[in-house]
Amino acid sequence: MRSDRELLLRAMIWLQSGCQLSGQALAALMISGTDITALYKRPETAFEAKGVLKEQTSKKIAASKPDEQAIDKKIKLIYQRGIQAVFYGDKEYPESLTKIDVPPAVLYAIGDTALMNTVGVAVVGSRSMSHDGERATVMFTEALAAHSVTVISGMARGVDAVAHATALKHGGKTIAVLGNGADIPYPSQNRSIYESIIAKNGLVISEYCPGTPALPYHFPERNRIVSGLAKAVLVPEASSVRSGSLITANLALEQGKELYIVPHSVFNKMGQGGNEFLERLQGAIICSPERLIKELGMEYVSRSKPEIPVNGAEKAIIERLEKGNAHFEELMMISGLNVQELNATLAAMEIMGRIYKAENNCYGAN
Amino acid sequence: MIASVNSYALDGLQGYPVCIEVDTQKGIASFDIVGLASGAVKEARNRVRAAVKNSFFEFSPRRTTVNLAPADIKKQGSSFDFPIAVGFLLSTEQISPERVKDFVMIGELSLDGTLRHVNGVLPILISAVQEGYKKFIIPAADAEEAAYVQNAEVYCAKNLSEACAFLGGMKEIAPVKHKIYAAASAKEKYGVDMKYVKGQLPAKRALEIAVAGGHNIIMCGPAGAGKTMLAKCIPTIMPDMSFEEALETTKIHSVAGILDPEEGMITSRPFRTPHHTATLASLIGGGQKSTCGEVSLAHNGVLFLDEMPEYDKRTLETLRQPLEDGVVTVTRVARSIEYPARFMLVAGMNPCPCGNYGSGNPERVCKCTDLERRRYIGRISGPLLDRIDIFVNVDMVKYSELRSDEEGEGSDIVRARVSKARGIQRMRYKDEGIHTNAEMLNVHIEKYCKLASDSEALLKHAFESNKLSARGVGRILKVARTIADLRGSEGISFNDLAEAIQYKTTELNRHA
Repeated sequence: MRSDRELLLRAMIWLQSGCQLSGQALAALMISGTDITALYKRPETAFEAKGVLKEQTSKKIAASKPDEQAIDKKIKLIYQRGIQAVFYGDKEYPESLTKIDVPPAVLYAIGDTALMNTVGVAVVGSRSMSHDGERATVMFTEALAAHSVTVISGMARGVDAVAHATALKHGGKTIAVLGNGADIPYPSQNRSIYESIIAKNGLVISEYCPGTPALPYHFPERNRIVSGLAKAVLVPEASSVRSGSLITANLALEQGKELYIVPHSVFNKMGQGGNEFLERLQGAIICSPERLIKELGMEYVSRSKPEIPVNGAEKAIIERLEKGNAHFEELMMISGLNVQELNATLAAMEIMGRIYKAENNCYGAN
Repeated sequence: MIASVNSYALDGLQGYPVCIEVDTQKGIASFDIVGLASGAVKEARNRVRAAVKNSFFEFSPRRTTVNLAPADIKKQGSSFDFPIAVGFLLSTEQISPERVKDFVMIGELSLDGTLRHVNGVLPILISAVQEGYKKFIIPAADAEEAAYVQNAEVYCAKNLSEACAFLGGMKEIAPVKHKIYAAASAKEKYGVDMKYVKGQLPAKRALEIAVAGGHNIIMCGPAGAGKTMLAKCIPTIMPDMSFEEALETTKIHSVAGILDPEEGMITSRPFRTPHHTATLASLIGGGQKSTCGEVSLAHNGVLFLDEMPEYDKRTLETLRQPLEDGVVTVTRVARSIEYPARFMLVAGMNPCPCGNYGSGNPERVCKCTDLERRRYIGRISGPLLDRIDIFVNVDMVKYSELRSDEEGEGSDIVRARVSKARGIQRMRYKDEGIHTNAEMLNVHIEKYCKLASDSEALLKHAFESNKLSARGVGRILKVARTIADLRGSEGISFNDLAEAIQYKTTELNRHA
């Protein structure tokens, strides 16, 4: 005998991968409280759920017969990979998601599902980013992790990946919301992030049935979960208003979440999407992690940086770099050092984390 | 009558004696060459016939057989023409045999009897002298090359009749005068100089270190930043070649047939720049004749690969073995030849396919995606990047710098420092079997790269902040050793190490 739970799971897998039901239809079924196991046993009863499903959808369900073998395969995969299924209406199902327009009918999860009910901030942005964007992502995520705020993102390249990696590095919790089956690390270059999220008790979730490949339309759909789970959405850098990260930002506004955008220089092409949002007075400017933490209603605890003694030349360099990035040759003039001395000084300062090497033989202060 | 004449042939860089036997009998007229002779050797028959006739000897129709012993090694090239002709004249008793057996002869014949240049005279002479041969007759065109061979009596003949007169004792030729080797630096024949390169101070410093320690280096920068210009200056700051080095390099160039007959000796370090469409065989060596490739021609010098990611990936990967071993083994079905290939690899590359990434020029914005950039850099594999000690960014020069009258340091000043550092290394490694810091093995690193405690802490910090790989640490210590040598210091200071670390922790290296 199969348990009720397993029947429910089989029914869901059938509706998702057998009947190819849309997220909207699934959500409608779950919200209305329709017994999907009954549907699974007798598909022809789909017509009884009038008012919940469109006629076309009902027809689709009634016409499809569950392929038990295919479902068995999926079930096996789910058990093997330790995937948990959290259904709409379950105790673990995050309350925040019940309030969004199309709540996911089910969440396949690997890791600590309790994270979904903690205070989280979504950190999203472009896939390609400038050096400044990377630094902003690191700076804000570090603070979030230090204050035990869960960092939620989409595990894409760029800002997403940096956000996850930074959270993990500083012992914070993080949730990756995927646009494909939770069993697939996509994009493959972020496999190591995927693995360490699981290893470090983070959470990987997806509303798509395990084994589902990443399809382009999944990503905008997935973004509603990213913003839905979060208390606030932070955009450290976004290159264009049309970019995926700003879909999340728009959704955040629709869902009534706080939206924080880090402003960028007008000359930074990679930051113009965020700037454009701010121009339209959508979202709030955020310039410091301290402010962000306070906005979240928490007390900001600053990490004291250890004071490192500096000599005259180093002091001159730091003073200059605090005003903005400078080229190697300018630093030579300011510090009065020759090439090899300056090379060595800058290298030591970089290793100690006081400055960083920017593009084009320029340096900047951390 | 049977006649035999000594000649010499090359297998790779190593010579072996070839005994040329000529037998003439009465019978149906023929001229056969046996002993695994390839096309060019077989054609000797026509050249010999014409040359003999045009030198006013007799070539009456007879049954002639020429045997090249040992008969089981494939013979190539035209260098047997001259000894075959002498053998023929001997067997037909047109010249007297007394002096012939004392000499080793090589040379190509023209139809009028003139002796022509052949490739590989220098390695042939060196091998033959080692084998105990003393006297040689070679084409006059190759006199310069022979002038550097010690313990040999080399006679140069202009044509067949002169050679025969000499062999018959009717004419004396003075042996080639021995020349004393002089390195090229005195002659100064480079068209470029470091002082004409404006700005680029970090890159110039990196090149100086690379040359001083024989380190491989990659210069990364946007298109038009001056990478090629900098690379061209490298030979001007390289230390002079010692006689042994010059000899090794000349041997290779002589075999490859690209030696300038006027010069006779390679006196300046080779600077080889194969194009990025270079095939595997042209870079490493190979082909039907198992000839040497660019890596060997760059022996004791520089192999410059401009636009490194544009090279065929498989071709690039084959560089790993010579970079590690300093020799390259060219193996073909018939034979396997080892060519020396100890070169300094200098590579130039753009940071992305469009070449504008990091140019800092608002008119030339990089349009490449992150993935494209990674792929581009990823064409150079990790193991290959691992063999490169120094990564340096070359950035765009500002117009004010470009047009400034200020001259930088001249190549001669830099070369003096480099030579001094190389001298220190030679002294240090005289019993170790290596020449430069770049060649250090782990045992040497342990012995010669001791760090003070503050430096040790710095290295540990760099390692732990994920900026270095375990293998990277060894490379850094080697470069730090070179930087200390440039200062003439016994110990590696904190600053030496810090500078070395930043050459290994560039963005490019982190991507890889």
